[in-house]
Amino acid sequence: MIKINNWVLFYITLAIFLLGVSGLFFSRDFLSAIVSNQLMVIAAFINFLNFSFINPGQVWDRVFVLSGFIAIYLFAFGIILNIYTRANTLKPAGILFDFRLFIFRKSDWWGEDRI
Amino acid sequence: MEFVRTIIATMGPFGSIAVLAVAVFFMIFFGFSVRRGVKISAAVLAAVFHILSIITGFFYARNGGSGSNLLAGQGGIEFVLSTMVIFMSLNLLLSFSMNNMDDPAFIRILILLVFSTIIANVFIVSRDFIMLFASFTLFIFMVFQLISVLNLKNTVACGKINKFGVRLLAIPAFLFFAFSLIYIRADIRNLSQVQGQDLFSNPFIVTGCIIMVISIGLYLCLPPFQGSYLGLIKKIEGYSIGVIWLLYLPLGIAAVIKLSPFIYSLPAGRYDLAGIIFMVFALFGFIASGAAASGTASLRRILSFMALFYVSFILMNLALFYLNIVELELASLLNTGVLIPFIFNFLPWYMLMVFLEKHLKSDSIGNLRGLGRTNIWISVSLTINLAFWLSTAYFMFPFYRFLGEGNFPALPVAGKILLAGYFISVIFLGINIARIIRELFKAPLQDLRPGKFFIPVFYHIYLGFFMVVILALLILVLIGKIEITGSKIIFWKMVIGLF
Repeated sequence: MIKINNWVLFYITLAIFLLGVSGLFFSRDFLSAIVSNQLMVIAAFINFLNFSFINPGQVWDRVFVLSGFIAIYLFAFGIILNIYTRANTLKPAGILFDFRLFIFRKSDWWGEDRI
Repeated sequence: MEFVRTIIATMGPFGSIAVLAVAVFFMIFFGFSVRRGVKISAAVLAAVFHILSIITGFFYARNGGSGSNLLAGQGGIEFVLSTMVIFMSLNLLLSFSMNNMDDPAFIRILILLVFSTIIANVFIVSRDFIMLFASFTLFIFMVFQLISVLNLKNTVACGKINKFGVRLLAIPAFLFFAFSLIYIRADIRNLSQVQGQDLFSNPFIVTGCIIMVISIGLYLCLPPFQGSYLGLIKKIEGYSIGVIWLLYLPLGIAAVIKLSPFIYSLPAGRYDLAGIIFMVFALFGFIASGAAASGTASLRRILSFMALFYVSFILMNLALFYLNIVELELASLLNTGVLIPFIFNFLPWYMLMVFLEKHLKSDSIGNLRGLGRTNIWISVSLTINLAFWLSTAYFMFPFYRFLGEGNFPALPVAGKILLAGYFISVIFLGINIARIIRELFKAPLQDLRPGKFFIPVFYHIYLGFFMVVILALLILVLIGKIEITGSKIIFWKMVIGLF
């Protein structure tokens, strides 16, 4: 049975997840995009913890979280390493690209540089 | 022989994966070699092990049965998907060997390619959610690695690759959140436990399914998320585009088939709404990709829009299911059918496109000019291939459900709009095919007369092989030796049960 505090915690994780999603759509620089992704991952992690109290005694969820974290953070590290080795910086001014997930602009819609 | 059978049966669904892992193991010892002989040996070794892994998978599927446990399983559909992925990887290996042999990191690139194929196969045979999620994330990572390594000297593509990588990172984040919601039913931990359960009245699981659909849509670059894919294709090296068309997108289609217990399970009360939403996105994907391809003179971009056209069939199948026009079995079969154009249409065109770009230093459709008059065999192969583009578009749409006596008036309005939109998109497909054929048979430019420029014999053999296979398939279908009934493919006397 879901108690009221589980529901509150779920709404909090949903808010964090939506914050991460909005960050993907509105953040222009690379580090903000990475942070937005991490917010979504953290929201999922809190969900796993939240629901583990409903289903106690499970090891499967911990294994899932551990393997998921390793896979996602390995990927994030790979991207950061790739950017750093090419641009030699992670500062926003040095990486002059727009990292928004979706840009409502004709040139981005068709994959062109400029229309 | 008995010994080999015992080993294959013992390895179970991981047999073909183990064979590829042996290839990686041997190549690691020569990873830093720059000698040409060693590179050629490594490529040959990788190719041989690719073929062995397909044979291993075939023997297991034939003799081992559809063995499975809670962790992994290989039935008919897993065998088909696994074979397709390994075959695509083999062709990519061929392309890299022809175009990238001088790269000092060539053997390491091969190791990355074979390893990504291994991860893709692990995903295909996975049943447990942990293995499914981890292998999917690692595969996306491997694709990003491959593209960035193949474009190390390409400074122009740097920004697009990084942007694509950040976009790719969002996919496992979405999926992770989706699985965290599905975890509310902690007794459901693998795909075989999902069927037959009354799960989808639970709002958490429904929300998880919706987020899963969004993550798959993001992965497949379906509209409106196609911008970074198109921008990437425009800038990266020609031979590295194969990683996207031949590995990345086909595995996305495999992911739709694997995750169909979730994707095709929204509550019945929301079917109409879901059907209309998918219909809108499917129509947009079809018409926009066809129209955009007609408006560009770049062969590379025409093919990239055509890839989006075929991937939009996934959305169309979802729309057809939720509008109650097709059943789940047919929708799943049609999803499997979407892989066919990636093998028979995109493979030969990708190889030819890379060769023409390398020699003519541009990606214009004008590169094809005059090929029909200077290389008759190539033009015949390409024309038959282009005819196959149209026929795949025809066979992947269940016209018999729409047309015929009494069917059309009984359709919902959304179904009629889908049919009309599909006809418009096929017209655009026809326009693009006509453009390519017209270019093929134009008079060649002065520089491209026979003797001045020729296509090597290898491409004649390669394109001819696909032409022969396409013709053989068409003939076998016409004489009834290949039949697809329900969820089974009957090939001559062999029955492959898919689902």
